[in-house]
Amino acid sequence: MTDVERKDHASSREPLLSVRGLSKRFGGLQALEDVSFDLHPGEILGLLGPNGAGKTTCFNMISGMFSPTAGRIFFDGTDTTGVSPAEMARRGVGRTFQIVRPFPSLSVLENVSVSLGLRRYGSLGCLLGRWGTRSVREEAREILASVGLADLASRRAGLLPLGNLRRLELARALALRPKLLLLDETFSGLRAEEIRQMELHVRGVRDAGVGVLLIEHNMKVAMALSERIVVLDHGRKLAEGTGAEVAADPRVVEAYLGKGASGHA
Amino acid sequence: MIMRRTPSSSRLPVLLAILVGIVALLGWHEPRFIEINNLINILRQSSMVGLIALGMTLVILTGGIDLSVGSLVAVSALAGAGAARAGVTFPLCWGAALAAGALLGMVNGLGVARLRLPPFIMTLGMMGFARGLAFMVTGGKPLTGFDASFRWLGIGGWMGLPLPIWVFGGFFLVVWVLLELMPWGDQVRSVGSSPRAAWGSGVNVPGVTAQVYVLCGVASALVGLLLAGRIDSAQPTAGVGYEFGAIAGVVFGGTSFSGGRGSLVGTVIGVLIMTVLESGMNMLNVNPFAEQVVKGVVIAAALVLYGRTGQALRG
Repeated sequence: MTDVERKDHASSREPLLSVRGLSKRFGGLQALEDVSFDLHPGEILGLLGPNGAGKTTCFNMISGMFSPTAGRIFFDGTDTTGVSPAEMARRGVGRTFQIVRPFPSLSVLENVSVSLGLRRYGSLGCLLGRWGTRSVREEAREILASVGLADLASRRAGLLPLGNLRRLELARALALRPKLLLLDETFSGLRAEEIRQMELHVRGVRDAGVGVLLIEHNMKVAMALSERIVVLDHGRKLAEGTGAEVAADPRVVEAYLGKGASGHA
Repeated sequence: MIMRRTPSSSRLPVLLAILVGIVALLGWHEPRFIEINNLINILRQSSMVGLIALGMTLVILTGGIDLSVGSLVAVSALAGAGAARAGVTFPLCWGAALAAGALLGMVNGLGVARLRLPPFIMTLGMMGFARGLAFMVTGGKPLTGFDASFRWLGIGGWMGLPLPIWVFGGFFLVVWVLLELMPWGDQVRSVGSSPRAAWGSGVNVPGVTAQVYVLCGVASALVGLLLAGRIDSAQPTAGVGYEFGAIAGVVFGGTSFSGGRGSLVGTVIGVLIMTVLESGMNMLNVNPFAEQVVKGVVIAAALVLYGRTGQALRG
């Protein structure tokens, strides 16, 4: 897919994800306040900000783990505010976790199969669904091969090193055949070569028309991957634009890049 | 392609060898033990605890426990018996028993899944509640004297085998298909392996949890029907202590208490080993109190052994 086509892809359609005035309060802490942004299919949007800026909170609300205190989330044309994680997964939101969350006592293959089963069947559907697991296992193998984990399929997930666990998280999210992929620091803790491979995966997913929302601390990676960037600070949206626009914004430089840019770039 | 459960499947051949070894030893000592009738009898004896152990396996795979199974046996037997006595035609009065088991199982499931009560506490409460209910509605007196049709499950036979064995086998087949061939099985294991991860990645954790407790309740109800049919009496004291035998069989069969790992085949072999031990000690006229002690020691030994192999696998 060329750049021009991709731009068409992104701008011609309705937004895949539309976040409007999103706020979340935990007791006395205002974790997120009045944040709005759009994400189009086939677009990578970076969500940046210092620690505690509210990025993961934002993810947790989009994927249904938290209900917002105020604001609305529209996904794929419908209002999905406060919908359960199980329902969001079924509708096509896949996510990874900053702190990896494998099923440690299950095999790598089974870890992926769990997600595949979710896509194919709801909770009752998977009880009554057709004779499924065999073909599910085959599809799981294909997905594992695509992220380079095929050789480790029968290994217990709890025994994998971090790099492979991050790939497993991606595989599990991809197994949902997501329309929207939420990547929470998927690149952190990876070696340079692993980062390069992961970038390729993410671009491949984007080229297939998936919308990707990316939380990333590594500025180089975030700038290279993201078409647009939203910067959060203390729960508020500080800036939005291309990497260059955002990097030139004095407020951003002050809040975040002032330290980060010199350190990472 | 065969789906290998890496950690637990390695135990199955060992378990099978233990079972065959004990049977062979007992048969060598006392040839009557390996007569076909005695073996069928052992299967029949295993079917009651075995049915419950199958349901219990599902619950333990999700990281839970169900202590209320024995009380559910009594309540569902009474529900079926009460319906039969009230003139409900015979397949429907079985339905009453199954519905009672499923309903109370559902209450367990909702308590654990929605109210977030620890499974031990929730089912301990249900154990007392259901037992009390059984005594309350009967005033402590058993219901007796049923039609042969109602009793058929407990006393009937088919193709030379008592019906309880068929019920056991049938239920095994159903839950095996659910657990090993359906995506549901992956979800059950994922909940046991890490409920937080399961919930976060889109598994309907409350739903799956409720479903395993319902299935465990249904298994208890089946046992209630078998028992009431066999002794022609639905008693409020039925099923006391069944949770012990079932949990012992599950653990002996290699299912991990920490959830996510285990197999139904292991459970069946575990239950068979326990029954064979019991039956063998009976035949050898071992003091019945000593029997309990031996069973306790065997279970403890199995747990220690599994702990060791588990560590070896991890290290």
